Amino acid sequence: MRLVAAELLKVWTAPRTLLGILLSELAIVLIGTIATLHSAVNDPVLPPHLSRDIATMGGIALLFTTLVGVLIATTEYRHGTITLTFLAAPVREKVLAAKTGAAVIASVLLTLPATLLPIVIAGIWVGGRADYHFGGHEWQLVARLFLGAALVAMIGFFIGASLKRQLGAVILVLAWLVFLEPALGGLFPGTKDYLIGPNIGGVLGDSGNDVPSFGHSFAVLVGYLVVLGAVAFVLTRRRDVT
Amino acid sequence: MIEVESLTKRFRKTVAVDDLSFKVREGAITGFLGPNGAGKTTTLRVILGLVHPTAGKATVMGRLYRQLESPTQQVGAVLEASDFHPGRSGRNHLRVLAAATGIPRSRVEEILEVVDLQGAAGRRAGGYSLGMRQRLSLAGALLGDPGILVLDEPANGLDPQGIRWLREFLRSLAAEGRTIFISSHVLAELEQIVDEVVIIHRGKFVVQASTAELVARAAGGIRARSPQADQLRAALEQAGVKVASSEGDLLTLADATTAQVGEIAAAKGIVLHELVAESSSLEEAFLDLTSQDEAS
Repeated sequence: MRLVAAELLKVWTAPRTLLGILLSELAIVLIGTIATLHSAVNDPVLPPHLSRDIATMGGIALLFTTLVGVLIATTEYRHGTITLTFLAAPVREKVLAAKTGAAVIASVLLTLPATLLPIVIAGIWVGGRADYHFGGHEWQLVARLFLGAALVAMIGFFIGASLKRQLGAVILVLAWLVFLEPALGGLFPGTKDYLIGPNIGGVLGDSGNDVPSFGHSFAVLVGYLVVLGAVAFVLTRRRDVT
Repeated sequence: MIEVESLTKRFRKTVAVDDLSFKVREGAITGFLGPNGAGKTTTLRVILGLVHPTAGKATVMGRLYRQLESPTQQVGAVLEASDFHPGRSGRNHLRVLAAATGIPRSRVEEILEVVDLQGAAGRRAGGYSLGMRQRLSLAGALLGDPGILVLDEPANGLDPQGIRWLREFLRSLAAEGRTIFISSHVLAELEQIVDEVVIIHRGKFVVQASTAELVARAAGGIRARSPQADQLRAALEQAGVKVASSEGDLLTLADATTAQVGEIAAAKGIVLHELVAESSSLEEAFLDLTSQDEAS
């Protein structure tokens, strides 16, 4: 716990990047929420999927939590502070475990405002209407969002910890999720069930016929975590800090 | 205290450290000398568990660094003056280190005072001068009040004022009984503070000795000037003293003392105009030893 607290203190005491990420995320969520609600209230009856859209509006947070995972892993290499970290805690596996914990906590802290903002705005805007119902199913979707955010934060973290170069890791993660996976899924449709993107959709409970089930998606993402985590642990342990 | 045994480190085809062995004595200030690229930093990083040795080992108090129970309370290290997040204040930098090692926050304020950095502690470390960064590094190293300090070129880039401060600061730390292992290629700096030196060159051990011993070993011999140089030469050779060179009225003697030469001259009634033991600095000794190593 001591090391996790130290990792969180690192984030807290150099917050510029995280604040920038948080503000960007909230700006996107705010615009999306206003646009969705504005279009919905123009209809005499609210669309049936409005509460679901509001519950999942914070899904954009997953992109940002992935990046935060990468940044938590790579910032210390970028600034050379990893030397002091390994001097203070020479058992590197413990440092990596603490940083993983910090990445998960940071993902929750980033996802919380991104999910609450649309819920609060919708509550104020259409909460009093009889055709707006935000209930147990929607809260379940919100919970899945937090789970998805934690999983992708760890994936981003392990990729960052393996590569150690910040820019390279950010480019790889974005290229992988935004270009490589869709291309792979398009060329070989059979691979879709085993790619990260579609399985994040499965964990979040996306609607659609080709979205994998929650159980399948969770297992696939845990599989990715085990493999990426093992690579990150081995490389971090063997790496010379010069 | 610190022991390096048959240490070898290769980075691909480059041999940075080659079968290096030495011990750092407890309670002493030991200088670690070598030209740039000699393997000093690599050796220090192996001692501190940051670099994995290809062969051999380096231990602190008989254990590998990663096996120490409270490493920062046993060993403090200053490796580079730029190991800071530029956006984090000096105080917060130390607080992070304290949090990671279970050291109370109050110690941060104490140590800021010790390194005379309280005034700037709230400022971002990215805006610090090199001297302030070195002080912050030292503060980090001393946070756990360790008995051993490992310092890699701490005087690098400091202005004369900073160097003076550092020298006095290290002296005060040594007076507290700490073991200090300090690398440098600024030899004049070490000469004034170290008890012993370990010299390496091209990753290999050259010598370990006290500074006095080293300077004496590299001393330039005896210079004797006499209007009766030929007679003096004959008298010395008769007494078994080897004359290294002679030029006019000047003789240079390699293995003799001034007392010996003076007595021989007096016994023979030879007039001496000059009798001097050539002095040598640690720097000269270092250059002498590393050039010998290079030649061999």
